[in-house]
Amino acid sequence: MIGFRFIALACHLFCIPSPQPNCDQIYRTVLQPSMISIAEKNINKLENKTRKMPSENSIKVMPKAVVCEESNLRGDITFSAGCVVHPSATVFAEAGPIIIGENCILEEYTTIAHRLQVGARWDANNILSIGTHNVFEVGCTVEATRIGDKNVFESKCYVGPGVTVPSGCVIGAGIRMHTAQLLPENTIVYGQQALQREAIEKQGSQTLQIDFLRKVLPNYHHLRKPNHDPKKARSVV
Amino acid sequence: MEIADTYYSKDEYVETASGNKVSRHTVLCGSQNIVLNGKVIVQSGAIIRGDLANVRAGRYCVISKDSVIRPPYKQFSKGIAFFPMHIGDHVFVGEGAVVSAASVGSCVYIGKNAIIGRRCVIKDCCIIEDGAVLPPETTVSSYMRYTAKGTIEGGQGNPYFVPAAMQDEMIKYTKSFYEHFVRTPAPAS
Repeated sequence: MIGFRFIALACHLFCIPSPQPNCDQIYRTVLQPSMISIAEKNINKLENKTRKMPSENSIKVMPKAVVCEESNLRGDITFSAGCVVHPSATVFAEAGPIIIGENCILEEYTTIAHRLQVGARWDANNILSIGTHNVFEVGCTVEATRIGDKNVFESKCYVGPGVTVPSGCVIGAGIRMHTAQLLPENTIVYGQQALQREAIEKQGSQTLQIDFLRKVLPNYHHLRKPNHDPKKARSVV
Repeated sequence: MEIADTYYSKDEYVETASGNKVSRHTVLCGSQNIVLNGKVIVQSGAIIRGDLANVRAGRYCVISKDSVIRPPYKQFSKGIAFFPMHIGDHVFVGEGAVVSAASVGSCVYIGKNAIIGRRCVIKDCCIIEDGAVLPPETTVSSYMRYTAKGTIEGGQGNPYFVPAAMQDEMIKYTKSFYEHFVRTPAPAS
């Protein structure tokens, strides 16, 4: 029924003579003028959301995140508190928003991409969520479908689409993962043949490094100002 | 060894008084902490992280496209420290290489897309092959070749992995690279 109304509305909006005379009648009789304006807004929103990637970037930087201006960010990206983004890192949200959890480090030439599947469209609900305490080292390319917490992506590794990285994993330097797969937790991928094994001990935390970078980077780089305060946003709602 | 001329446009490169040629499309963070000792070529897309610690490069070094020179860090119980990084003379760093070594000696050849882990020590006259991955804290002694397979070849009784005249070869190579890296001549009009 709702879908039917929308079709009628859309017909009305675009001044197309409605295919069935009944549509128009229903629309007139059922919807009040105030409801029409709300419905129109909804339709516009829906169109914006489903059709394509919004042309304007919407980058939300939480307080305490250090995001260098020289990084290359496109699309709807949220950096949580404590993230450190080095210059010339790339984050590319093509298929949907990317939310990067707390205390992640993105080093130089890191590429995190949320790419469109063939025939798919920008979908605001298709969120790539990246957990907390992840380290993306120099030159890694990550297109994974989901990333948990405390992972390390070493230099120049490639994690292709369809790979799910849970928590505590280490993807070794120069390793290329193309096949869609679900890694077990605490996996280490290493060596020439990209062998996999379980971690013997847990990865050390990166908080010390983040503390250092948070002190040093503002001295040398222009940073993106934090523009999103979760506390304030909550109080408004 | 004779190298073909490589041309660059006048707008793209800056030439300093000591003869360094640095592309404008590089990211030199903390440039006050970077010392290039003269006749160093830094090509476009290269990143040198002087903001983390001092970086010193000797004469006649070549830092190719998209390579990253990044001082290493070590984690202590009370925080971390980045260490200064020294690169000797006549060092060639290939395209897309990531160098996080504590020190790199003179006359070293680092291949394309090589990854040199944190706090590695690379002595003089070494070859790091294209795409080699050095784990953190590796030492490569002089006249050794680090292969893409991950083995260190060469040494006494096992020569021929690095040319015996490696020093001369690298001096010649980097010098001629510098001399053949020339500005595009103005079109004759």
